[in-house]
Amino acid sequence: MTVVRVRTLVIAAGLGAAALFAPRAAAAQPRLDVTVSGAWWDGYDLGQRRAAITGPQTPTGSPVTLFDNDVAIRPGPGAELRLGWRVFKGVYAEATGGVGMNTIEAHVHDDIEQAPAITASSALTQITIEGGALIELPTWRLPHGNLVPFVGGGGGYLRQVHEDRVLVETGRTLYAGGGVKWQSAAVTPQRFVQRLLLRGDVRFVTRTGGVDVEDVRRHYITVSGGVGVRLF
Amino acid sequence: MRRAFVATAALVALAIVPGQAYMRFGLPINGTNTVLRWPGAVPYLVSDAQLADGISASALDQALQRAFRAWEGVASADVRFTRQGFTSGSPGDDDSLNVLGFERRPDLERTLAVTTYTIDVISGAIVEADVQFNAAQPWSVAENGSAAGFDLQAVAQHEIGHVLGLGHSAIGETEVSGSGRRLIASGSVMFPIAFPRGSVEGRTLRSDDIAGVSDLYRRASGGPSLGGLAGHVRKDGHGVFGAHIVAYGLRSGQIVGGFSITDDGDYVINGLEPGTYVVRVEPLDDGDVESFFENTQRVDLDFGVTYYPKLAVAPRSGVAGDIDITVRPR
Repeated sequence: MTVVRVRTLVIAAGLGAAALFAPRAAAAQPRLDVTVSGAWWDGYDLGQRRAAITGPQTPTGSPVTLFDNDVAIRPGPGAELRLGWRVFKGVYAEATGGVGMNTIEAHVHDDIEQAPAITASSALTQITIEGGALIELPTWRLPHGNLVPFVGGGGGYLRQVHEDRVLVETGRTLYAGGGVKWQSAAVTPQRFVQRLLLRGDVRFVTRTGGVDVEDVRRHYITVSGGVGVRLF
Repeated sequence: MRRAFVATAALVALAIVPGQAYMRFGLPINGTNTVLRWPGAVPYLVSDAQLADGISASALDQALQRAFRAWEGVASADVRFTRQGFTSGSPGDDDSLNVLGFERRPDLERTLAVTTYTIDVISGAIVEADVQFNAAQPWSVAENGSAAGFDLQAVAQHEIGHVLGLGHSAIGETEVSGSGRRLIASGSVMFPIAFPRGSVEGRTLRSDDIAGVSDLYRRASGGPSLGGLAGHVRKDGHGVFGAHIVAYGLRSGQIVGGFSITDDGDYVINGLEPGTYVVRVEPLDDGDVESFFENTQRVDLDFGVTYYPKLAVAPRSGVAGDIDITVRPR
């Protein structure tokens, strides 16, 4: 009985795939792109922090260092979901949800009592919800599809969750970037799913608020690549 | 009412050693460890029975008022004092009054001031807290400090910290100097060794002092969010008693300490701004121990400075536990 069920599922999946790639003569104008991507969220230095106390000079003392800390957010893998709604020809309003699995770490060194240097770290899950615009550039027509370069920009909300969910910190992001979309030439016979998409993005992100050692803007890059569909 | 002098705390000009951290005074009442804490505004009198060379009663009064205001100014704590004027009584009198003033104690050659408590050992309530400034020491009330004497306001702030129930902090560094110790640096008003003559650094409450008083007298509402870290210090599978733990806030810059105060090596550090912390453990130096613990034999000094291998995260409220640190014998 189990074998029969598995076969049935395999056949159904095969039919679905065939339907997806079957050419269709007259497609309605696509309006919504949905893309799921794997991502790499780059890290960035947060700077040096010095744990210091006060020396006995008079009338006011000079700092005496207990230990130094080089603090950084380390790169990590992530995932992104993008919804792009075509508002004009070649112009999309885009909403993006992203998750990055990064690490915050401090390299602790120069201890006043010569303790060995260590690198202490803690997991940091970064979640973004962003909105922006995407503008398609002139298309390159290829045998099996179109290659569409694009540029875009936007901004949104950043939520950073520390390890074990002990603390949540929030901030804002602004981004600018670009990439390419490959759109299959084949049009599916499905009513809603019209084309397959492959997409690659590079984003330059500016962040304010959130996990940091001081109130300054930080910059980092995210790179992502994924697959999607064009709906409607 | 049964009374007992349960604690004395002295600030010394030269002596003891380094460390970090605030500690709360407490005593066992009916089998329960009770933290010394005032239930409301703390009334006090200024003794003009004795004065130090060059310090008038008015100058003493004003220096004390500035010192009290420094503690009252901690935004995250609800601390209030009520000045009740002068008294001809001495700070050492057993009169159920909180009196601050000078007494000449040439026998205490390194001691600048002493705070004594009288406690109701049935209820745990503080009956009386007195502060004696040693008139045998040179004092200064100069606005910018004077090399001629120890800054009275700074020393008063330390003693008022004891009045509030804070013990000594170990956040500081010293080195051997003759028969005593010389201050290299201090990170807390509650460090047991004073800044030298001419320094006014002791007038500034540090993050460790603020964390301590905020832990004891947390403002019920309107104060900043504060969390804590807790865990164990262990060596060879057993708890370490008397280890000194320091949390350093990578964003806040707070340097706040605590001690492991059970045989299981438990510690708690409260009064921390939410954020990420480096946690460091060190033993108290030999000369330091009696400034912090009555039973010095229990204090384990045989381990090296050790960092917690992860970054600890203090929550917006409550305590993040399991910050367990394993140290190794030297």
